[in-house]
Formats: sequence, structure tokens, C-alpha cells
Amino acid sequence: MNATLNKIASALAFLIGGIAVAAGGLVLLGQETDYYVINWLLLYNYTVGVLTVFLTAILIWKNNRLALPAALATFAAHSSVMLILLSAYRGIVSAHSLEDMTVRIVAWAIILGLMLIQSHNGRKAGRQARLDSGSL
Amino acid sequence: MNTTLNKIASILAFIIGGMAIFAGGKVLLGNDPGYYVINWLPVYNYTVGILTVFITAILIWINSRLAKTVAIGTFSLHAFVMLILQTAYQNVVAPDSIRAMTVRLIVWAIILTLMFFQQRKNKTA
Repeated sequence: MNATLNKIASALAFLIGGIAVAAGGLVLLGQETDYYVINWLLLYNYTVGVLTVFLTAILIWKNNRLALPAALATFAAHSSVMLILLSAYRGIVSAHSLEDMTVRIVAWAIILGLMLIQSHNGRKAGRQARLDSGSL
Repeated sequence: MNTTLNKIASILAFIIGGMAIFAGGKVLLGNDPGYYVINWLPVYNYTVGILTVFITAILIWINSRLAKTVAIGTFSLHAFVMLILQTAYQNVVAPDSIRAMTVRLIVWAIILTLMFFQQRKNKTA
């Protein structure tokens, strides 16, 4: 099965996770930022980054049956955190952190979109192959 | 196939990983442990803890063919970090950090032994 869209989705997930690991890691190692950083947000981003790079991106690349649930969970987690930031941390959270989270949510929406199109195309190709072989 | 020893190894990995997440996470969230901590050490411990709980422990539990490689990798990584601490950071590192790393190394040695015995048992069965 051609899985080009899944490969692109995986590369995108790897990239977004890698950026979170690099940026979060540097701050966790003591690098100063010129804006206020909520400490749990930093740890959250780093954790999800590590899991994305070492787990989710690999699951998507291998077209594993757990790939879609993992991607959905990541998207849901980011959306929930964004909701918390916009409600409980309004006025405290920096615009920079909100921008970063928006970029992550958009990237994960694109990843999910690519995976859904891939899955749809795969099903369509499977149906066509069964039709061609006369089993339908 | 009976995989009791692998299940025990997986639970041990989960516990040691969970402890690293808890302890490392607390330091990274700003809690003062009461002794000097080398800044990269909690980040390392936390990262390996996350990977152990979410990947390694699961691979061992499901008896994946990658489990042994990943477990040996984790043990080697801890041994390498211990070596760095004992050489480059000999005068700086806190005894608590050395103790924690020793516990990790011992637990991973036990995990590897359990996996080795499981594999041998399966071969003879």
C-alpha cells in the first residue's frame, strides 16, 4: 500500500516533536528566555515532544493500528492544555507560549488530516482491488 | 507461552521508570531536593523515565523482539552516564545522585537477568 501521506505526517510529527524537545530541553537545562514560562507547561511540552519523536512518529511511519489513536490523543491533549491556558492562566501565560501551542495544534490537525486521507485512500484502493478480483 | 519472568521484568521497569519521572519531574518543576544537582542529570533521568514507562516496559510486557535490545540499551546508557559522573563530575556530583544511579543500574541488571532466564526457559520448553 502506498503510504506517502502517512510518511509526510510522520516526518511532520517528528519535526514538531523534535522542536519541542530541543526548545524545552534547552530551557530545562537552564537557558534563559525573555518571556515568562509556566514551569509545568515547559515539562508538558518536553514530555509530549519526547513521546512524539520516539513513539508517535514511529507508529505513524509504520502505519501501525495505534497510530491514529496516538495522534488523536496528542491533538486532544494539546487542545485541552490550550483551553486551560486560555481560561485558568489568562493574563499570566505569555503570548509566545500561546503562539507555540497554536502552531502545535495546527500541525497536529494537518497530521491528522493527512492520516485520514491516507486511510480513506487505502480503503478505496482495497475496495477497488476486491472489485477487480471479483470477490465483491 | 509462559512469560511470567518477562512480566515481572516489565513491572520492575515500569516502577523504576515511574520513580525517575516522579523524582526528575519534581526537580524540573522547581522543587529543591536539598543537595546539589547537575543540571542535565534530572533532564536525562526524566527522559529515560518517560521512555521506559511508555515504550520499554510495554515492549518487555508484550515480549517484543525489540525488548532485549532496548533493555540492554537502557542499561548501557545508565552505565555510561555513571562512568561520566564518576570521572568528569567526581568532585561535583552529590552522593544521592550516585546512589540513585546505582539503584537504577542494579534494577536494570535484574530486569536483564529475568529476561535472559525467560528466554532460556522458552528455548528449552
